[in-house]
Amino acid sequence: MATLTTAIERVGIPAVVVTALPTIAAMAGANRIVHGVAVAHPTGDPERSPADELIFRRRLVERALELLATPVSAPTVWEV
Amino acid sequence: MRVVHYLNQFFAGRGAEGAASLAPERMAGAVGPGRGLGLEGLEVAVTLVCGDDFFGEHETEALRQLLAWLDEEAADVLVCGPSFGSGRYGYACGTLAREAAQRGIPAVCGMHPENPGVPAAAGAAYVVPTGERVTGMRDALPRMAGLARKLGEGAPIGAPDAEGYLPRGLRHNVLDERPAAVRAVDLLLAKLAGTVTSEAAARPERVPPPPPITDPAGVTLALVTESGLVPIGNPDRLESNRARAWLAYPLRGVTAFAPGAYESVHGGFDVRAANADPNRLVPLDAVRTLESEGRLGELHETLYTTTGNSTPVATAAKFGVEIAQRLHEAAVQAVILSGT
Repeated sequence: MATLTTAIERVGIPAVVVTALPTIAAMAGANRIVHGVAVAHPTGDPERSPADELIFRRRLVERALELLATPVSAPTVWEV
Repeated sequence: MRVVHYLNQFFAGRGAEGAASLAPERMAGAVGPGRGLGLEGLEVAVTLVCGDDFFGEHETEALRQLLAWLDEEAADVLVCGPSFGSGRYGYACGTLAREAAQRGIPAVCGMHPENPGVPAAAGAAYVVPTGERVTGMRDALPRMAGLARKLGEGAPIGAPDAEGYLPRGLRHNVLDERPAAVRAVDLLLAKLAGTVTSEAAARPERVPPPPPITDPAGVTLALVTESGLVPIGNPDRLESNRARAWLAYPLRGVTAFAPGAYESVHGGFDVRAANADPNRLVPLDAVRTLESEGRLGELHETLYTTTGNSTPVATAAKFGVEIAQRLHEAAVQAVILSGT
């Protein structure tokens, strides 16, 4: 996933990676990383009620947009 | 010599991706590939097991338990894998091996040179290069066993090309009988012949972070994923691993990924939770909500998707360049990429 990210960032488009494995993403060259829930469902959480899960996912996307609007100089990992 | 062997859930016979969240376990004797090490004369005393997802998602907890067992077992050497081209398994192997080696327990892993477990081993543990697939088992085990035996015995370990492990980024001065000019010409001839074995590999290129967007409300955002998300029935036959292509699907008029309309064909994780609600892989429903509220400018009309599972780095890089080109032409200003 970091390889795709690197290629996209090379043309100047900031990309935020949402993944449950932020250490691997950072090691492989991703610059903006949001810590996802789990490998099998990075942007959702089956443990929550459907309404709660949607609120959580919205928060996750808001965090991702916020990180895209934040200057970073090194691999940066944000929790939701 | 007391040998401890580390395996993931699959190679320990505990189940496939459905068992990837398995917490660490300790088993007596050799299991699976450990029996193959035994055939090479390396008797495994204890096998440690951990699910790949458990390790990735609870690294501190997994390491604490596995390292405690390594200490209890008074291991002379730790063998991890082989994990071939499997990224999560390789990462667990490389990380555990590094931590063990830094505590004074020599460790050897086996994996493909492009596996993210190689940098995770960080030059502290030895990595024996293997093929990308499990068919490389028979070739890998004797080489891993040979190096592990030497390490366990405390025998001196020679240079990477002599012993068959990947360079660890260390330098060791040796006296060569040949004068510098002769060595330089020999090396040039070897390079021209393509037989250089001692050349340090280039580090993966780091792209500096592009400047941030100024305001999400003014940007066109694209969704990209390597989670294997496709329309139901997989009409374009995206591979479940080693994908040969990326695919583009229209998002115009799609407000959420409805269950039964989209699915994941990824072969590297248990897809049940994702298929019950595919927005758990790509957050389309939440993105649409923010778009309708004016918090996000506009969602780009195309989803770019592929399967990131045992994909060689060169292939992923090619996909990335092609997708980036499309995004650039469409004047996309920001990307959310979900990875599994």
